[in-house]
Amino acid sequence: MTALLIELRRSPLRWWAPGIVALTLLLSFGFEASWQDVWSQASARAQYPVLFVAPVLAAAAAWSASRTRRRGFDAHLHTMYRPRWQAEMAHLCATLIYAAGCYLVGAVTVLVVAASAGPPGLPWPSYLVLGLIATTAVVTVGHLLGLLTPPLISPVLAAVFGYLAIVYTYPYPQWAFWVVSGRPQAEILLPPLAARFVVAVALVLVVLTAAAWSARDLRNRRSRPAALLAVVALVGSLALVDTAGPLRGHREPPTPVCSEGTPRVCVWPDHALRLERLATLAERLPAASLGLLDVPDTFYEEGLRGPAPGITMAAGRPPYELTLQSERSALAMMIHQMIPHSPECPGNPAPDLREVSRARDRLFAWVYSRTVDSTEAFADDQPLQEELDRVLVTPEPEQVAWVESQLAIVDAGGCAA
Amino acid sequence: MDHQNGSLLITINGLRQGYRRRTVFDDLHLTVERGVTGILGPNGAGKTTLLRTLATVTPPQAGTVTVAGHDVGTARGTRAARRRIGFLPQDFRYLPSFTVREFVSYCAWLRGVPRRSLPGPVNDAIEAVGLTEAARLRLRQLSGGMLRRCGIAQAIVGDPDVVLLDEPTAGLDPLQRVEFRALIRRLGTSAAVIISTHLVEDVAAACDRVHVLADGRLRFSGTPDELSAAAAPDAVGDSPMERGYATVLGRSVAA
Repeated sequence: MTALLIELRRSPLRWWAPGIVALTLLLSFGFEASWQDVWSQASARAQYPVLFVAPVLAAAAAWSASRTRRRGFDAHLHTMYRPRWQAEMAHLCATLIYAAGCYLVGAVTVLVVAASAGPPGLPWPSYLVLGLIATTAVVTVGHLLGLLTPPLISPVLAAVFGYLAIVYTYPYPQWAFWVVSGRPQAEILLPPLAARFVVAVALVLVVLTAAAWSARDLRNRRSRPAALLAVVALVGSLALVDTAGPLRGHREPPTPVCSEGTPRVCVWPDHALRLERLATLAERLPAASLGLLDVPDTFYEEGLRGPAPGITMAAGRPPYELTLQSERSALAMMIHQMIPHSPECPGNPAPDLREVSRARDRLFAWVYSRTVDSTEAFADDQPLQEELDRVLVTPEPEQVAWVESQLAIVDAGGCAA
Repeated sequence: MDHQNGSLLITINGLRQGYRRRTVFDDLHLTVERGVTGILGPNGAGKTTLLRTLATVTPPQAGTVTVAGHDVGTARGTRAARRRIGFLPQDFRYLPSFTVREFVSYCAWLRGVPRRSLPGPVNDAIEAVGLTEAARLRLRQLSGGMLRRCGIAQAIVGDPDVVLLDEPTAGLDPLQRVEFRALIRRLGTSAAVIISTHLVEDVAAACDRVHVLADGRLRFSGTPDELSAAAAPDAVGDSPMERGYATVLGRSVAA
């Protein structure tokens, strides 16, 4: 405890922590805020800054860890009664306490802001734990690099390693230590989370044995089996991660929350705060489509009737259920369910399906614009927006004729003439 | 031999020591008792190598070295001995962001001084070297002399049985050297204090015994008075002890 308290007082992270916390808050709040009304999203957002903050912390850890070699103090440490690993443990613990503190300040701030929006349910601790584990692992590797590599380059190596390790493992569900967002349809599974925790612990063991090894006290033969044990623990923990399966799995669908109007909209209870606005949009669709397109009785959010598709999960079905990443995407998914598909002609496909695709796009944009009473969403496609602006000011009979012409293209478009 | 309660704290028998192919000592025998012992010798005589061996930095290549009753040729003995040794190396390194108090506390912790008793020994050590007023200063703020005193404080904290000081008066001003001599005389009443130095006046003023090393061999062992008495009439030097030192080194012809 004596050494830990001294290390806490003298850690360079004591001075860098405010800047790191500021960076954490900037990354949490500086971009889109659609996470604030859903606990799973807010919880995932709390660990989001880890991608950038953990490498910074790793660099700080590397710089701090290299101090004994920068100052030539390691020779002095080697003459002391306490084994070198004990001194290193105090040092690493102080660094990890600051790293965890920076992370938790950001995470708690995110959760407090989310709580003020009043989403149903509670925060998801699994995302918070994942961020803590990732931070611990990356910072520990930074400390290790500070012990083993030249002091002047160890912070850069630690930061680059930390960033690349997170980025390059992210696309592989089996190996990911970080997530971008947290849809309620998926949840972090305990075995892979526990396996990642074991990796972090094994890395701490590696640091301690590396410190003992650096003492080069060849008379102390116990350091050899300890080093072997640490390497075996690390390899074993990585094997555990590999066999533990994907980080996230499909969440058991709960009883949905549905709107009263027509058509109905059913969403996950986690998205209850978004239901009213979605229901309002859905109720506009029959009028917006002038009765020319079939409106389903009920729109279901993805994952309620089967596994939802996603990067970390096997593709689900069906393809056009609601995704509530944003209001725009949810409305788009509703309208996509109303646009008819061209009949398939396996033996006689049309040579050019682009015109069919354009007709479907025009129908989609027409319904969308009438629903939200604006063509702004299509500003990127100038010709389409101009056509919409022209059509939408015409009398309804002319719009009906225009829609029927587009439907005719879609209806005939799948097959060659 | 009674190492714990008796006065004999260091025993060296047949020590061979060196670096790679260079042998510094071969078959060195030496005993050190409670009190202040000076190690004199020219550059390259092996003074620092001897202190590093006693401090367990470098394990002996052959022979036995016993410090405070523990054989430093074994891992167990080395660890036990380290708890009883305070060491100020010639090239004293430190952590500049630490304050004096933190650094001495940290070194006390590293030496295994019990936590409950820590504030007392730390304050005593800092006071003993006259750094109480500077206890809250960072080491990077200290002058060379103050740093040296801080190094001495970390070596003596917790009252170790064996205190090894390699060139401890380097960087100290004359008044500080006088105070330092008084300090090690006090330490010598309860510990074996070994000082490696070039400065014979430090030895004359503070040491109970003196050993002269040259070319890895022990040229003289005795009291400072005996060293003075060994002076040849034509030896170089400004004091009897300097002349005695020159004599045992075989430099008896005046320049």
